[in-house]
Amino acid sequence: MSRRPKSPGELSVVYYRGRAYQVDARWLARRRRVRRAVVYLTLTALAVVMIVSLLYAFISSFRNDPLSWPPTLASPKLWPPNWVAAWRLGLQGGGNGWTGGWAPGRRLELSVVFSLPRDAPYPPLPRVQLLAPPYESGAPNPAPDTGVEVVFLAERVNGEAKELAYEIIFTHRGSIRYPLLPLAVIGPRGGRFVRATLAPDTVSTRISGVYLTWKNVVPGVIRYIFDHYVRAWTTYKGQGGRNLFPRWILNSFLVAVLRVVLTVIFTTMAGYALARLRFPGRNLLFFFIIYTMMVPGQVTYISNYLVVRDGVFGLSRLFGLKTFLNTFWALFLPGLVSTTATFMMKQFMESIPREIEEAARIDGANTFQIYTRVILPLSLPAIAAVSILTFQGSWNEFFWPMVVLTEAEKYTLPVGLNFFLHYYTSVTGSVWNVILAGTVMSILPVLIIYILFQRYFVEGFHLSGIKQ
Amino acid sequence: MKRKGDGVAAFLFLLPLLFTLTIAFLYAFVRTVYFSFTDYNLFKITEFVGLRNYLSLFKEQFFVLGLIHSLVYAGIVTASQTFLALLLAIVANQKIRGLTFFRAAYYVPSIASSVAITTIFIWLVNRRGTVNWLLELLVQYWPLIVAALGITALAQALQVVWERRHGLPVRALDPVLLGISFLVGSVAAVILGRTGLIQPNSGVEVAIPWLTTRKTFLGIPLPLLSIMMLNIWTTTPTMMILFLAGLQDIPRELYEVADIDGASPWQKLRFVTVPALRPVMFLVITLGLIGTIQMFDQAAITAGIAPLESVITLAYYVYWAVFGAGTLPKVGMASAAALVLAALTLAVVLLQRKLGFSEKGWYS
Repeated sequence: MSRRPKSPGELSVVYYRGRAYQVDARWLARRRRVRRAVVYLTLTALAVVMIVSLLYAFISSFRNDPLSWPPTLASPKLWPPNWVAAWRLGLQGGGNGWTGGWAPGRRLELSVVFSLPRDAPYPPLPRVQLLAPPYESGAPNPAPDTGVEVVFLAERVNGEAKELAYEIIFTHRGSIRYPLLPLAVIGPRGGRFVRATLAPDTVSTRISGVYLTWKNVVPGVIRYIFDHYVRAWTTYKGQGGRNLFPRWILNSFLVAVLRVVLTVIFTTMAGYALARLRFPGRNLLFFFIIYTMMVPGQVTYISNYLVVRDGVFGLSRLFGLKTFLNTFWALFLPGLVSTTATFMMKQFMESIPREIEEAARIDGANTFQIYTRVILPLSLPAIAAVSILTFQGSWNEFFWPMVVLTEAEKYTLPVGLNFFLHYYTSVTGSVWNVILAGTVMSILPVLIIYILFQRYFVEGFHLSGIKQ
Repeated sequence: MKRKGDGVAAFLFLLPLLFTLTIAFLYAFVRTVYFSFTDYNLFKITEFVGLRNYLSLFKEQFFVLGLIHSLVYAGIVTASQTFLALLLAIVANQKIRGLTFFRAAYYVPSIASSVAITTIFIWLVNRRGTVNWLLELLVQYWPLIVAALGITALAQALQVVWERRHGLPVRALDPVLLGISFLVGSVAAVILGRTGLIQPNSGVEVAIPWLTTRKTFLGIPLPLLSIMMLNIWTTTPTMMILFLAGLQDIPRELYEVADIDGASPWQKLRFVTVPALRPVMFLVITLGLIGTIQMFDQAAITAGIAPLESVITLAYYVYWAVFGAGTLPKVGMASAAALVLAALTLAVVLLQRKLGFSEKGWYS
C-alpha cells in the first residue's frame, strides 16, 4: 500500500529533528491510534500486575495446596459439579445442604471408581479409614459411632484398562451429631483413581495402594467452598473457647469507627483555627504539625508506651483501671488528633471563600456559630475524605497496636493476622490456604469501602499529597 | 484582619490538638532525648550514662546493620520507583479516557494493610512459590525469548529503513513499528519452538529461598531485596499517577517548538520534560525517602521468617531493642537510635525545603 499522498488536501506537516516532513494525514491518524493502543496496553498490563496478584491470592485461598507446583488456578472447591455433590452429601449426612454434618441415624453413600490394567487380577475391596478431625477444629472423632460397609458395584472396560466402581456406605449408630466426617480410602495397588462422588482433597500413590483423603465427606455447599475460611474463622480460640478471628474484626471495626468520629470532631476544630483564626505562634505550630506528620511512631513510642502503661498520669483510675495497656483506650493516645488529617482540613478550609464567613459575621454570628453553621456544612467533602482515610488508616494500623496490645483477645486485625501468619508458618507448618483466607477476609472490608467511596479516596490523596 | 477574641477561640478550638501534640509528641520527644542519656530499662533508671549509648550504638551489630539497611533500602527503592514511575508516566502520557479506572486499580495495593500485602508476598516468594515458578519459566524459555527479541530487532530495523526510504519521519524505536515488530518476533519464536528448531532449557530448577536465607546479592541480603521488590511493586503506580498529573500540565507547544528546533527524543526528555517535572519530582523523591527510611512493618512481619540480621532496619531496631531482644529492654539504646531516625527524617525535610520545594506544593 502506497503511503504517498493521494491529493494535496490530505497532507500534514510533521517536524522531526528540525526538518519538516509532509506526510499523509491518514497515515498520521493511524499512527496516533496505534500509539494510543500501546498506551492502553501499558496501563492495562500495570493494572493486571497490581490487581491480578491479589485476585490470584483470593483464588488460591480456595486451593487445597496453594504451593502446588506448577502453580494452577484450578481448584476442586471452585468446580460447580463438586458443589452439587457437596450439597447432596451434606443433605444425606446431616439433613442440611448448606452446612452438612453427620447426624445420628443417617446413612451416607459415597461411590469411588478406580482403574486397573485390563489383565490384572481382581483386587480386594478398598479399605476405608475414618480419620480424626484436625486437632485445632476441636471436633470430636466420629469413628467409634460410624459403621462402614464397602460394596463392589460394577466393572466397565475402557480400552486397555478396566474401571472398578465401589460404593462405600456409612451408617451413624451413635447419638452425637458430628460437624465433620474425615476419611481415607485406600484403593487397589497399582491402580489409578478415576472419580468419586465428591473429589478427594488429596490423591497419592503409596506402597499399599492409591491413597485418597477427604477432610470432610459431609460438607454441605458452604462448608465445602469456604472450608479454609471457616478454619481461619474458628481455629484460633481464646479463653472460654471463643473464636478469635471474628473478635479481631469486631475490635478493628469498633476502634476504626470511634477513631473516625473523634478525628472528624477534633480535626475540623483544629483545621478551622489554623485556617481562619489569627493567633500568636500560628506559623510555628503549623511547621511543627508538618514535622510531626513525617516523624515515625518509633521515635516517640517509648514515652507513649510509658504514658499508657501508667494510665495517662493516673487518668485510668477514673475508669477503675491501673493501666491502659491492653485496652482500646491505649490505641487512641498518639493519634487522638491526627496531624495529617488536621493538615488536610486546614488546606480544604482555606479554599472556602472568606466572603461567606464575613457575611455570617455581619449577621451577628460568633466564631463558634460560624464553625458549626458555615464551615462544617461546607467542609463535607473534606470530612468524607478524612473519614475514609482515617477508617482505612485505623483498620490497617500495625505498629502501635502491636506495642500496646499483648492479649490475643484484644488484638486488632493486622496484629491478629501477623500472629496468625507466624502461628501457621511455625507451629503447624505452612497452611497457606487458611492464611490466605484470613488475609482475604482482612482486606475485604477496606476493599468494599474503597470501591464504594473511591472518589473520596482520590480527594484525600490530593489533599494530603499522597499516602505511603 | 485581626479580631478581638480570636486568640481565645483559637486556643479552645486547638485544645485537643495541643493536648496530643504536647503529650504524644513534645513530651515524648523530650523524654526520648532524656532516655537516650540513661540506662533506663522500663522499670528504673540506675545511672546517667552521658553519650555512652550513642557510642555503643555503633558497636552494636544490629544497629549498624539496621542503619545500613535503612539507608540502602531508602536509596534503592526511591531511585527505582521514581525512575520506573517516570518511565511509565511518559509512556502513558496521552489524553486518555478511563484514567479514573486505572488510577483506582493502581491504588488497590496501597489501601490494603501492609500485613495483608506482605503476607501475600511471603506466599508468592516461597521457595516453591509463584515468583520462582515464573523465573523458572523465564530461564527455561530463555533461548526462545532471545530468538523473539532478535527477530523483533531485525524486523524493526527493516521497517525503519523502509519507512525512511519513503521519506517518513520515524524514530529507531518508533512505538507503532515496535508493536508490529514485536508481534512478528513473537510469532516467529513460537513457530521456531513448535518445530523444535530451538529447544527450551528443560530440567532447570529455580528454588531461590527469597526470605529464609542469609545469602546476599551484591552485598544486600536477599530477604531485604525481596522487601524492596515488594515496596517498589506497591508504590510505583501511585508515584506514576503523580507524574502523570505533572506531565499533563506541561504545555504541548513546548514539545512542538522543540521538534521544530530539531531536538531528539532524548533531548526533549532532558530539556523539556524533566525540568517541567521538577516540583513533582521533588515531591515523589521526598515522599519516597521519608516513607522508605522509616520502613518498619515489612521488617517486623518478615522477621519471624527471615533471619533478623537480614531484614532489620533502623525503625525495627528501635522496637526490637525494647520489646524483641529477649533480654532486659535497652531503652537507652533504643532512644538513641530513635533520635538517629528522627534526625534522618529531619534531614530529608530540610533538604527538601533547602531545594526550594515547600509544603505548598504538596497538593495540586
